[in-house]
Amino acid sequence: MPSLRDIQKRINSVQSTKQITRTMEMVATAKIRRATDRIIAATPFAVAMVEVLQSVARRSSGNENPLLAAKNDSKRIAVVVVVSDRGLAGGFNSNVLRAADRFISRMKEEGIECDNILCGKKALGYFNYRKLPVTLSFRDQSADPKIDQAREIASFVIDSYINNKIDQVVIFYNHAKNVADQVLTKEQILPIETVAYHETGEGETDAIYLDESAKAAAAGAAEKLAQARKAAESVSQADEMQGYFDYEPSMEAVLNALLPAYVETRIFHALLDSAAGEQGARRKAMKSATDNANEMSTTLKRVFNRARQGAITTEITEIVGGAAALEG
Amino acid sequence: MSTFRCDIVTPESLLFSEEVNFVSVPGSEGELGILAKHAPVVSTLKLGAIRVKREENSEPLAFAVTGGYVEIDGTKVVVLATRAVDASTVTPEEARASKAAAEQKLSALAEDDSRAAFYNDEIAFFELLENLHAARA
Repeated sequence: MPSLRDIQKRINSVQSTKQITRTMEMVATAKIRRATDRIIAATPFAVAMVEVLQSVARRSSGNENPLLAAKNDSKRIAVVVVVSDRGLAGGFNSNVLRAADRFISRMKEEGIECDNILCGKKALGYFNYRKLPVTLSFRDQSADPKIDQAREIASFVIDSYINNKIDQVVIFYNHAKNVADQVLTKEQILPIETVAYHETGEGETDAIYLDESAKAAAAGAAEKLAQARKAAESVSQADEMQGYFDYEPSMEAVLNALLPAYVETRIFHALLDSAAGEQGARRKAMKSATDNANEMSTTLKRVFNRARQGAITTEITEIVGGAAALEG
Repeated sequence: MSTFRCDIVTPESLLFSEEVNFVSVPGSEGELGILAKHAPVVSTLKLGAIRVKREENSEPLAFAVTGGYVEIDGTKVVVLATRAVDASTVTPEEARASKAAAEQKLSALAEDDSRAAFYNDEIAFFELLENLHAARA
């Protein structure tokens, strides 16, 4: 049986751990709000972007833009991996990293090379440890993603894609489904799937993508999105009636300029989504850690009390025994 | 005079969304002045100033943009700006300071550095902000 002092020590250590995890939980809760607000702020742009792209795409017949053209065989794929800079967020980072790792090694078996673009310190650690090649990396930005980062990634992949250095671009990230749940998501960035954005003529595929990223943003955002969506609907109706647009300088020029911006927006959204997911995951992880600490400290206290009671009983028996011996 | 809705959005936020009377944007083919019931147009933008008048005779609000698109669909105007700033939120001193900082960084770069373009854009952007103030003063 451990001594009273040992048990007390353990209780203290569990308590102080609990304090840390509880603080982290509260900090994460506060940060979820901020991350959510950022998604909400970015949603109008994405909605407007998809709208313009839709109306342009519906009217442009020949899609000669290289970003739309799928290549016949992939020899080299760019893999964008979005994780966080900090750990202590449950399976948040490892889920994405493991999925990306599996994907990369499967591609390797098929003889396809991967260019890895990493966002987040944790990804860097993982890839360096496994000696996987890293093409581009970003760190210390995961909590507050900036459009410049998305722009840098986008311009790199677009450039490589057009110059035939890579044949496909995929992105792995955690999509914040709601405040508590993150879903591992793999999306194809390039070539831009024509089916996807043609279908959106009826406001489906891309609207869903926007829908979900906003869903992450809890109740307020969902409402906002409903508005945005309604606005989008009324626009597409108005659009139907208007019949045609004039394009300056030309339809091709507009489309050529729009597509890179679309890629950029999607990457930026993934970064924002992942940032919101990170806080959600951390809160969940820290909440269960706090709960565990609570449970453990209750158990330990029970053990402590029993040990103390045992010690007292022993003492009493000794005293009584001693007194009896004196009397006898 | 009838009014129409004008949204100015950047990737990071919704900058402006109001009923307005007149908007002028720096289209890549030339300045576009937009009143209500303008024909539907999608145009790319170049670096320049967006001016918005809430009412016919009111003082215009000025925004600086680096580029992007404008979509005019007959009922509303949506400006998708790569980067936009409300000119009244930046003082001329700040603009001048940012411009000087960008110039300094540019001069520190090597001749053929690919980042030079970025700083040239920065300088032009802040110069524009500065000029917007000068025009108003």
